[in-house]
Amino acid sequence: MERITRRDFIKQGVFVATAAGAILYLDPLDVFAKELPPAGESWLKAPCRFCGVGCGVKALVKDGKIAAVTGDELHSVNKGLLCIKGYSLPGILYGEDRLKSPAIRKNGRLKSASWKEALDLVASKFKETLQKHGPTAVAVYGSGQWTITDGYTAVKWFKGGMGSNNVEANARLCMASAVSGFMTTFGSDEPMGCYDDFDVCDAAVLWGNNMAEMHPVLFSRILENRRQRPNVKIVDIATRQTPTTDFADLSMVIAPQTDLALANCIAHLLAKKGALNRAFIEKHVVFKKGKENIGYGLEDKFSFKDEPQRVTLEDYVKFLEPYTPEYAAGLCKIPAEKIEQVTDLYARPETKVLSLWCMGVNQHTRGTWMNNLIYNLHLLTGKIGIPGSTPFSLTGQPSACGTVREVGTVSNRLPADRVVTDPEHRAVAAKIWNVPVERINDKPGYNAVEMFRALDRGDVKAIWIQATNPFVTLPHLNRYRNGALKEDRFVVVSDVYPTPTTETADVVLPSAMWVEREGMFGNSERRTQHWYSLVEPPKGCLPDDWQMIEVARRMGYGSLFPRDRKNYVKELYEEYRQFTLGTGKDLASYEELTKARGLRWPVVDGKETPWRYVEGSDPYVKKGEGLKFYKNKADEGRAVVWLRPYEKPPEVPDEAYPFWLTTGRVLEHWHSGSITRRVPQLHRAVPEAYVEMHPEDARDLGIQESNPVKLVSRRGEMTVKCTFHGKGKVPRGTVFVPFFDENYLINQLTLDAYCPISAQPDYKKCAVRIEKMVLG
Amino acid sequence: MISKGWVWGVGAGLLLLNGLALEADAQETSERSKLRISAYAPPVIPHEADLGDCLDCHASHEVGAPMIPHKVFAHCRQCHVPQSDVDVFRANAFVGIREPGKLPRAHEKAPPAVPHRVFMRENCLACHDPEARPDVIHTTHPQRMHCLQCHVPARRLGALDR
Repeated sequence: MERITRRDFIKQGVFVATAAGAILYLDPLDVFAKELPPAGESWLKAPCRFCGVGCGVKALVKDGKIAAVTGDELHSVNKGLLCIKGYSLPGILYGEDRLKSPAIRKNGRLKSASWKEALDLVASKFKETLQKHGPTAVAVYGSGQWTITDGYTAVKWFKGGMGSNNVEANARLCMASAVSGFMTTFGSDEPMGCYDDFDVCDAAVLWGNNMAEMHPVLFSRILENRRQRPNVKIVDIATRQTPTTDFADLSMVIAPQTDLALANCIAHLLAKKGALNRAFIEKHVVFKKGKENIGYGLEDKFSFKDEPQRVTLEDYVKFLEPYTPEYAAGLCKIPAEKIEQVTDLYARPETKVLSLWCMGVNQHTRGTWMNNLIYNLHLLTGKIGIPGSTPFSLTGQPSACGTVREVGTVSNRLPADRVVTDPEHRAVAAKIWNVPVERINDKPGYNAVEMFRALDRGDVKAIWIQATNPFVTLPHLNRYRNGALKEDRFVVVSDVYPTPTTETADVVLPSAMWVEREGMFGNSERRTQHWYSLVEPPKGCLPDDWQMIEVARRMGYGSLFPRDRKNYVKELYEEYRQFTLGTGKDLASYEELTKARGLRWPVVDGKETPWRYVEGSDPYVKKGEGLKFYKNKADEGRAVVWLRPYEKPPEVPDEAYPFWLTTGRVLEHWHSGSITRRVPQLHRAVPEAYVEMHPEDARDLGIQESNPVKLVSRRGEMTVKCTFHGKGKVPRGTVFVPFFDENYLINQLTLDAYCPISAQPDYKKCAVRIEKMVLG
Repeated sequence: MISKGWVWGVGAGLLLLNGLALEADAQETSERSKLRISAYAPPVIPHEADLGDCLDCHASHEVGAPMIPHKVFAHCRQCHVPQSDVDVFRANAFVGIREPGKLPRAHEKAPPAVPHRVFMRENCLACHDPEARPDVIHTTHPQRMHCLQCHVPARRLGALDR
């Protein structure tokens, strides 16, 4: 008890101090602000460069360098807080092995070259490939860390210039199922809710989302909500216990893939308990079923087309019949009471439920279905469009939304929810780009996995990779890395540090990063944020978009792009913005963005939209409509409840490979670690990869803490140290390995199966065996 | 007329002083880097991280550990990370700045201004209580409580220079 008292004491004490401080801050103390910082020091705004939360930071610029970073106290996303990655931002720019000169592979070795030589070579190789093999043989593979104008340059150059739809990004590996979930349920990508919901929800249900580590600042907003309103409940549904579990009121460790059955079971119970909101359903919902047994995308050139059919509420309730608590509890391997408990939260009309998810649901061979199934729960109960009550798909990367999803840097999309297969959409693009409409190819290009399969087969000959590290992060890595190394393939890599991917390149181009160039990101809550170039990049480094513009110019596409390096970001952005106006995805003007701490679209007449589809908040909802899913025109402005069954994953543990392998991230490192590992304090916090094992599984195999063990899958093997004290605790029969460490390439083992609708691979489920290594 | 030698002497002296100051800066930032990534960043955990509830030691001056100067955010490890004793992955040239030292007073009798950021350091007594850490200024009047009434922060909350 003593501990609690002390905690309470300090909480109160500190709170009083904060409140007192806040009053004083209302006085503008600009006298000091202007006088005191010595000349040459200034604090300037930028969004954090890391995850999709999009925290605002203030960067201290001194003598042309970033000297410190703090959270921006007046930024509505993070209210001054950051996580340890955000605080490490000043360090990521100054690793001593920063790439500062282009390099060209000659006789098997990368040799420094001039920009002119490198850009001429890239242009001539892409031109030659285009002439010899056509537009399907060139490709660009970018990133959710691309700025908006990086992505826009790639789309315009490839789709509007070369007539190639082979534009993809690593966000295919992290957000594609979220996109197809939004498109199939609501007819438009990205969330209706916003972060304000996190402060007022009564329950946060986390579906396969280790939020404490992956979205720490948002998780702290939920924790603060619960501190102030102790009845707030946090439910953690996951396949292992994580730091998030430590804060959960209800933890459900389920067997992999059984989330499909769990979600359907909750819907089954809602129907049974009479908890369906029939008035809401009547007004806002239609029911549909699609194809079943849809495959896993394991074969080259896999393709899938769903065939949606309208059905009725009665059909849906009948479809749910088999998903009894007994059946689901047996599959999930959890007590049925836990399912009842979480159902109660969705069932009680007054409880405001916030469902959250990220990689556990998206990196899933039925990822689109899982997104649909979570939306079902909110649509059946009408828990949507109410502050605190909403489904909310979290994003992994800083501009997965702003760049990849909104600009459409994927093989089938054009800006603002448009697709290359729609003639009207192509016409809009052709008009804005001032190119003949025939130039835009009506056939989608390769999705990310297929793109690297095509590179391996030789159907793609020239690829440009920017701001990502696929030869650490692709599943079934060995095939794709070896494919890139084949004769007659031309691989260009733009990055800031040497990585296993730059090692495979024929040309390496050094990039300017973060505040070394001007840019914009778009975060998870539809917030577009602009930053100016605050410091010069190291001599020899160029922004990714400008690198592409230089090559495009050399290939004869110069008329597509601005010439003036000073204003090109503004010019490109204002041109791109035309795609969004009048669509319900309207972006703010450049001028508005430079002044604001980000604005949430649709931005109409300078006013942002916290809640989409809600009257009074979203200017596209007419007076008297209340709530309207107006983007889903095909279903009369209604959202879709989908009948999506439980189906098995493609690979399950068996006698030869008896363990589940699941992979993921840690708080301290960003993705493949190429930036964060160069910050000494982050490296020392988590210096190397490990495998989390259950102590009893380890004991059965004679393995002890810190012993090296060999993990073997049907695709590859890797030796790594075992731990029982990792970030998480795995259940029996499961092991976990983080993927940030390039010395332990766990993706050599993972499976390149993907969701047939979204084409997003599943990094969370494959089968491995574990061999004890004989020491000495 | 001032002799050339004198000018050179003063110049060299200034350079030397500047050099010494730079060296002191470098030393201080290098010391700082063991504790935090940069000025204003949260301190790392300089001891084993799994010793139990952080607040058992860091909620008061009793145990002698630094007391947390901010509101309790339940997830301490969001910002404070342990450090293992390993070599760096790759060298890093980041230096950063020293935390600002004392500020000039408005006039001779005026109370000193707060030279550092106040956000996340709202509980002044966590560090400035006479019972607290030896390496910072101790207040002579902890009973006054409302510190910011007289000691104004150097910068307005959220102030940006553009």
